[in-house]
Amino acid sequence: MFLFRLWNCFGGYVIIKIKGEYVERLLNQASLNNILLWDVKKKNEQELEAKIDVRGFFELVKLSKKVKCRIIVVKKVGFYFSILRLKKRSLFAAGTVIFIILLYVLSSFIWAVQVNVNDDELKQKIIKDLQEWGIKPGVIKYNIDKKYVIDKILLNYKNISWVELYVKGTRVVVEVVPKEPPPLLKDTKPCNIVASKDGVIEEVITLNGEPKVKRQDFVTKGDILISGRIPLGEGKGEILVPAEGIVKAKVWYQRSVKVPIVKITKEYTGRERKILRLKIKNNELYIYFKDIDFNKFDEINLKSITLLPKGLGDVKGDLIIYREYKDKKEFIGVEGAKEEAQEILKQEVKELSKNKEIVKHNMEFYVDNEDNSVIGILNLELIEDIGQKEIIQ
Amino acid sequence: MNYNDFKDKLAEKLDLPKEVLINLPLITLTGDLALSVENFKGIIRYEVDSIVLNSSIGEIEILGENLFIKYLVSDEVRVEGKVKKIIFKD
Repeated sequence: MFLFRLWNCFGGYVIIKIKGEYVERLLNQASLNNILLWDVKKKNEQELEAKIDVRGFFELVKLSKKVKCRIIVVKKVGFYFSILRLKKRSLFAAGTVIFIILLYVLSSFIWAVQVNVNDDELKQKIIKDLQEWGIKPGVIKYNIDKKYVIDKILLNYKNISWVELYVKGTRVVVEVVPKEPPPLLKDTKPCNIVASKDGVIEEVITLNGEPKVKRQDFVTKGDILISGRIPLGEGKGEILVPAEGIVKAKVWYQRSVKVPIVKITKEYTGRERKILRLKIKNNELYIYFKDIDFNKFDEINLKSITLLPKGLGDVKGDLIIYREYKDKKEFIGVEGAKEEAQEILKQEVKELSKNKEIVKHNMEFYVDNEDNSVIGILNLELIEDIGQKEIIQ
Repeated sequence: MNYNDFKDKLAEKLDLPKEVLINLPLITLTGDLALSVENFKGIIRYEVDSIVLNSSIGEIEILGENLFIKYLVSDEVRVEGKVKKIIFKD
């Protein structure tokens, strides 16, 4: 019964009313002529309601003339009639077909390439190479030779252990697992330890090699601190070893900063305008929704969308917000400027003395009358490891 | 022995369905909700509370409430509704 209903849904059927003196006769005629009728209901003495399929209907009309009955169509149901109705609304039907075709065509292109790997540098490299090998926005997704690309990636990048490529909708996803780099072998090449900065030696701890400097020695950049050449005595030559050791030295730093007495800060007025920027290849098109009468403003990019991929015209859309601001002048005075300069210099000290020992630091402040600003000078003395390996040629 | 008696006996001996051989109507009842008649020969009268069918053994009258014909093909009719009585008239 279910199949029968499904069939009628596609084929289409008609709900009819039969009016006449002796409607049973028409039913008998119908059953004799093998016409299928169903859900026959008596409405009143001279009226029947029934359902009949399309082909049967026309035969029944012929029969009804013989037995003098009238047939009235109440309703047309089914897919068959829906199509007939669509024929009258051809533009609507065409639109539907075009929509489906467009959806199919557009979804058969690649719109984005996504590489899943932690290393950002590797990611950019792979994306670039994929473009060369034909995996880029705009290519047809059915043409992607998965095995070829995977082989290509594995061959070209030695530090990749596993690659998987799949198409998810209109996106190509490349999963890459990089190899863990093997542990670094100790450098066995003979080398010296040289000074990377000027300074006064505080402490020399030699692990391998021959120390060339001692405490209180002044060294300049490039001087050999621990030598990898060890003489074996007169006339016996020398052996070369990789020098190793820690050389701590006092190093001086000087930093200066200039802070104007009148401080200029940005103050946002709260007025914002959203605009749309279309990038068509190298041309930019700005679409303004409202006039912009800002003197000074910041540009913030909210969202970038690819409207058409590279192969299909390359159109990108950016949603941009312009935020207006005004310069706000604030007189902070000599003391205020000094405080600010001190704050900046303190920050500088913190940065320079990371993992290092501070021996001495002092700050001096001068007022510059020409520029209406305060100049702060920082002198910093640190003890740090200045050793640097240099291979012996 | 006439032809019908012969067929009756043949059906009995060979264990064949009688309605096929002797052309009897086959009436199937589903509780009192539905009734289907195969091998019928036409509708004589059709009302909401009674349907009269013609068959090889005479008229079959079905009495009930809210009767309607579920479907109707050349040799089978199915009636649904509340069936109360089935009367055979020679």
